Amino acid sequence: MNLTRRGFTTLAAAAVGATVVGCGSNTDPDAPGDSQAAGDKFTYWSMWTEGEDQQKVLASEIENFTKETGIEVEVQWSGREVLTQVVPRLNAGNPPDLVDNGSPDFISRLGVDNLMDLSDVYDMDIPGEDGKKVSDVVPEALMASMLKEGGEPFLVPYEVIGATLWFNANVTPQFEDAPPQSWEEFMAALDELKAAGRTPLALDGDIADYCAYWVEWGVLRAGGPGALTGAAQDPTGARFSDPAWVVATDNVEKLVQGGYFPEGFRGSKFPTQQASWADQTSKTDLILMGSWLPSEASGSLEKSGGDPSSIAFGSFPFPSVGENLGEGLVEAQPIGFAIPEKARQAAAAKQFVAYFMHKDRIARIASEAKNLTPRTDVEPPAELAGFAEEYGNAKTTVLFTDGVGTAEPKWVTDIWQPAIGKLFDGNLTGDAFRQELADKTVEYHKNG
Amino acid sequence: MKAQPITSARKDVRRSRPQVSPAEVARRKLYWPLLAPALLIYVGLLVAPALYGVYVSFTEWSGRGEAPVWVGLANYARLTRDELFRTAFLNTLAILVISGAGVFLLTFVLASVLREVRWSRTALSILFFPFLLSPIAVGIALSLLLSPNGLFNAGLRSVGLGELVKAWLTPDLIFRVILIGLVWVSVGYYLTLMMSAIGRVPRYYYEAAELDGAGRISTFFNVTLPLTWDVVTISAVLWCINAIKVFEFIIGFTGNGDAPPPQARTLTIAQFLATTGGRNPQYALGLGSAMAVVMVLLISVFVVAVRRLMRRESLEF
Repeated sequence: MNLTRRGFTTLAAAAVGATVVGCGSNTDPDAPGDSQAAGDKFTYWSMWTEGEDQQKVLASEIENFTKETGIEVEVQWSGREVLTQVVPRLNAGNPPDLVDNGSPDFISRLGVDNLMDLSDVYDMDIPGEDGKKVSDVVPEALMASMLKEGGEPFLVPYEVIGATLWFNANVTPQFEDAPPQSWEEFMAALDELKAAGRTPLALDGDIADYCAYWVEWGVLRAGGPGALTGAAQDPTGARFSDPAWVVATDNVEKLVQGGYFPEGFRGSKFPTQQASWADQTSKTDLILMGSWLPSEASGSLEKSGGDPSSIAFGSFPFPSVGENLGEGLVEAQPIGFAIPEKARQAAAAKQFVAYFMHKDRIARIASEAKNLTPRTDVEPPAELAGFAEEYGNAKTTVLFTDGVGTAEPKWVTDIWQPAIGKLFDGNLTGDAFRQELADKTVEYHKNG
Repeated sequence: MKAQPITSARKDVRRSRPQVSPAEVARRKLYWPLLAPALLIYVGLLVAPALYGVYVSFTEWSGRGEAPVWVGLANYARLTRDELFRTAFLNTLAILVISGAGVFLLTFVLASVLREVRWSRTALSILFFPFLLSPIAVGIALSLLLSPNGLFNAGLRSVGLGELVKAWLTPDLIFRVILIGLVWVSVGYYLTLMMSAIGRVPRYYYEAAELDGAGRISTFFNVTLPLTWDVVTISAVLWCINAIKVFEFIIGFTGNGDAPPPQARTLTIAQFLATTGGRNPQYALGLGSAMAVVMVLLISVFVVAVRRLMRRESLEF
């Protein structure tokens, strides 16, 4: 029996050892980097799945690329969770050569330290476009959200999403002719709609982030980029008393108390309110939402037997608030290509990235996949024309939620979203909301 | 104490007859080849990762590229200061105790009734049905049912109980609804266990109780409960484990890809949010592992406590 027990222990220990080693991280500094010359093939793991419009565009351009250069591309259409699949390969030291995703996803899921500096891609000529470099076609205003700590870009974008104020021009044509410029004009327009028996604002209140858009936009418009993330990262909590926060949160308090949102909007389930905006059963007019709204709203309308052409999508920038330090600020989040630090065929992958940035190729993201591209010289899809104009005039851009979701995810989940919930339930005044944020943020940093 | 003489007797036999039987030799030869694969898989895929999880709970680790950094008890210390974790912990206990009371009360009542009725099998199948469905699907379906203009409110309005209509999914009500929902989803399972135990109880005990003039309640406490005590104990243990681990139902119920409101968070949800869950994943794998360790300890405490409290001499019949 003794022998058996000893044998068991040895075997168990061996198995534990093997597994722990397997679970450990590979931080081999000698792994191959981008020093290699362009090979004749590279691997690309994509965030799109087979059948999606973006996938079709990319697949067809990959085929063209192979025909023209002879470089084979081994593609895996992995879907949105692609970065989760990349992590173990990264740990093992053999990641794919090219991946795509939103810039905040790269920051939070892979970490920018694990991504290559793509400065040389920005310096590359776009094949077929006389002397135009990649850096010439990506607006300067977009760069801030694609940089590593040292200021080098880690992403080359091919699509841009953002949030803005949407309306249906068939219902409220007045917003097309003369969109409100200031918060006062905006409120006057809302009051007019309310007086006419409408509910001015649609909002799926079960999604805290959608409620939060209203506070964020006010704070960013009034206080400029970083007004939200900066406040979250301030261990004294003092920045929540800044004038931008005061005016923005008092504005939202009035919206909630004044009944500008649909009745019971906090207890309904997404996409009830958005769908009721689309088919007008809720008699709502404006919705502060991402640039995916046209495709989602048309889709839900079509599914419920409605006519998607009954919506003429229009949008206008969030009006000026308070001191208006965020004038010309646009929420624009880039989705694009990145190359993991240990990629073996980085040079070939880079070649493809520059190739895809050609106006005619990237334009298919707009014409076929109905999304906005980072290139302002590409014709946007009709329903995004308003947002494209806003983006084209951008002085500066921020990520969704001012990037605080990637900078301080725990703060967002544990402090921001619960407080937003209370504000929109009407359980906190603007003042009490700021106080709660300040107190809890101090505590949060103390607990660090 | 009896084992001793037998072992020594066997030793004596061995000493006197050094060659073991061919069957015994074959058995010994096969021992490791047969055991090793299962052992390797069990240790490699279960025991080792679990121990690794305990190790990770003492580190700070994002799970990608870089190695875990040892931080000692910092994650546990952080949990003690974390107000939302406390809420999640208390919510889990609330599910365990309040929903648990509901589940067992309903199980006992239904079992007493079903024992006597003719269509008990059909009723049992219907009651068991929610347990067969994916908890996510049940959660989503229930949440649609309870939305402001959902069937439930419409039903209340149609029978003239309009004043009872509420926005059931708002953060201040949602947890109470979850407590009730969990009872509804779970009761079929425990009732099935209970009914199979009751099925083993000889009918004459019930007939005797009836002749003695015992009512339903008295019959339950004097016949059913004592004679099914072992199954009730097992059910209680299973409930402790399931209640602490409940996750999918709440995610489905509150689910929209966002983090559930703090009022509806449990230990598993808190762990999900600290690691890869929600719209803003935190990748705090050390903190998440610490929560997992707390959860395992909690389960162990409750399981041991329940087994101790419910230990009784089992009745033979």
